[in-house]
Amino acid sequence: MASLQFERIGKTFDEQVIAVANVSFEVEDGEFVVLVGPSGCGKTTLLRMVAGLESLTAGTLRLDAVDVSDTDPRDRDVAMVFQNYALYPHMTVYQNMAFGLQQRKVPAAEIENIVHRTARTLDLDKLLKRKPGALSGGQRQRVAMGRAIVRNPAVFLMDEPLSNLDAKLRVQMRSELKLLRARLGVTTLYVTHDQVEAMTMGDRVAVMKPIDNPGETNLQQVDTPQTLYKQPVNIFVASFIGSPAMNFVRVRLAGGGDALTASIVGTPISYDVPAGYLAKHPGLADYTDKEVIAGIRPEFFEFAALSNATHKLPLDVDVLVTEIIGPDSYLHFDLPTPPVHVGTSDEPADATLTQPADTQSTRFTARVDPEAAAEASGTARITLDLARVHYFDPASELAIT
Amino acid sequence: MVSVSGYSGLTRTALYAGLLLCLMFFIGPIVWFFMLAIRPPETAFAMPPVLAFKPTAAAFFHTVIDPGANGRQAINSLIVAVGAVLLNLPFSVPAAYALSRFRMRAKKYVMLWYLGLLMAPPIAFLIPYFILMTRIGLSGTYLSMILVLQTLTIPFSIWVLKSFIDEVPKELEEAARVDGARWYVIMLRITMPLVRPGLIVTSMFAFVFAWNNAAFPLVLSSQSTATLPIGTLGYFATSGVTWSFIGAAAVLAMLPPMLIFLIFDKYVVRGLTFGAIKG
Repeated sequence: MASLQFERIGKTFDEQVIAVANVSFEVEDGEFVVLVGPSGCGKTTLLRMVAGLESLTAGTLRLDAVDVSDTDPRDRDVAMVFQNYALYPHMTVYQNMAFGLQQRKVPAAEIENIVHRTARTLDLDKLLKRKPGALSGGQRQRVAMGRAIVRNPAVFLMDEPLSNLDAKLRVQMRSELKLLRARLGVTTLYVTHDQVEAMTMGDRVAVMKPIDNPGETNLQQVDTPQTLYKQPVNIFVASFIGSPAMNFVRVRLAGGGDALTASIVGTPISYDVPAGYLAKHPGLADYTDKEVIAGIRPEFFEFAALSNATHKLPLDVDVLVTEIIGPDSYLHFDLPTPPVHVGTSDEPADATLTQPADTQSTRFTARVDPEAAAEASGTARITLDLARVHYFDPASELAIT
Repeated sequence: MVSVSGYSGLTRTALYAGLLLCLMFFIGPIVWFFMLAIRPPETAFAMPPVLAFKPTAAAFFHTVIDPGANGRQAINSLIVAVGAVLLNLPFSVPAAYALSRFRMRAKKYVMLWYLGLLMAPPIAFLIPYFILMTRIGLSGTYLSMILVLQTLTIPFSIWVLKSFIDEVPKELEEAARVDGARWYVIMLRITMPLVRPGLIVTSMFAFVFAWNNAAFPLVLSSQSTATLPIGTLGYFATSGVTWSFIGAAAVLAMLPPMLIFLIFDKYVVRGLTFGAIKG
């Protein structure tokens, strides 16, 4: 049980490659925080710094208010689950789990007790005499967890522990992990590149981004999954969180005072920003006669006949394709507006189609009623719920509030 | 793997004939030496070859049992070979580990330098080694031969062991570090057990190198520390060349390396192909 404080932490490799810079946040006692971001965002490096496997080149790391920035891993009381499990292949499951306790000079009888108890809770008691090579992927995963649990550490560190499992097993282990962590209540730092995993597991999620300037910070936003989704602080977070990803479009604002009109660049489409929205986001008025970037989640769209939004923008769109995925259904269409490029391109685009080759149009994804979608073809009338649209500054990419 | 059974009669016969020819080529000299040892001396180089003769084991008895023969030299060979093995790992393991794990500037050149040591013809160094050992007063001792042999066995072992250690995932050592193990515990309980085939194969090669080496003992050994190859040379005497004794000594000298390779066969294959294919 412990809290973790990151204070302006930085890591530069070979004095030139900046992996992590200016990361400051706190993990509270018993909290489960997920570090998420595209590859190269420094999430694993940050985790390894907490483990003591990577030295800090800037800042201070505190474990329970004690500075551990330069402490050897063996004196940190943290346990880590590696991406490829890193089980000792020449030792049995029992020896793998006992190794850490032996290093800490725990009496043999006690080790036996702890290992057997932990093995029972993880359903490993029949496998204790096997070597890792004779285990399935899911079993190896559980042994790796067990090796961390037996130590009863102050902090758990997990580096993409589920990424080597197949899709079905991953979902199953995800819920097992949640149950386990609810029971143990140990402070946990969890790294993943999968935003769905991040959103479902974390008490709070820290979204990170690759950087190349020492003045920037990797850390974009640390918040509860709900807040991240509903109030992303910038375009990066908005586009990284959510699947399918948020749609972005340039709009030009006009008018003034308490009435703003927005027109989608390149199209004759325009709409009035709802007065209630303006009242909640007064900053928007400063962008009169300027372009801003509107962020539209797929679910802000709905078929016109089914929409019950108060302020809605009707759109007649040519349906390119509909994807019906059980309870969800995605409808893709193009609008003749120049696309907005966001910096999360290596994020797997789950259900979104690739952008059209024509650089003057943008592909949109709408999440709509599946039954109505099954019949949709040709031209469909859909509406956009104007009260939920996000707006971002095109230069700073920050959300306008 | 190609199976012979898949071919028709004529092709198969030709294949077997080819295989037999290969076998003769490799095993022929060994068989010939064996025959040399058991045939009457006067038939050794008879033309046309004498195929029918009454075999005798006299030469073998002479090399193994008769006083003053090769028994002492076999023991000397064993002492030198075992000494070479014992001295090998304590030096090559740390070097290989450092070259595999640590970041260092001239790593590539250090490795190439070791390779150069292996490639240089040992004969070129015989005189310098002799002078060196004489000056430090080690000439004629077992230690002198064991030390000089290390110039071959250590570079070889470093190359083989480095590729073995390269294959041990770094995460295993990191996991052990987080588990609270100190560096020597990691080395002894994690890394070394995982490269055991490499330790076995390098020890084996060190033994065989030392056992088979004739050049170093030729200049470094004395009457009492002469090894088997030197002893065999003694049969080229002024009174004549006793071919049957040479044959018997050669066959006996071949036995330990052959036995070793037979017993540790799987490690040799693994050791020499290591890193070639990802398991």
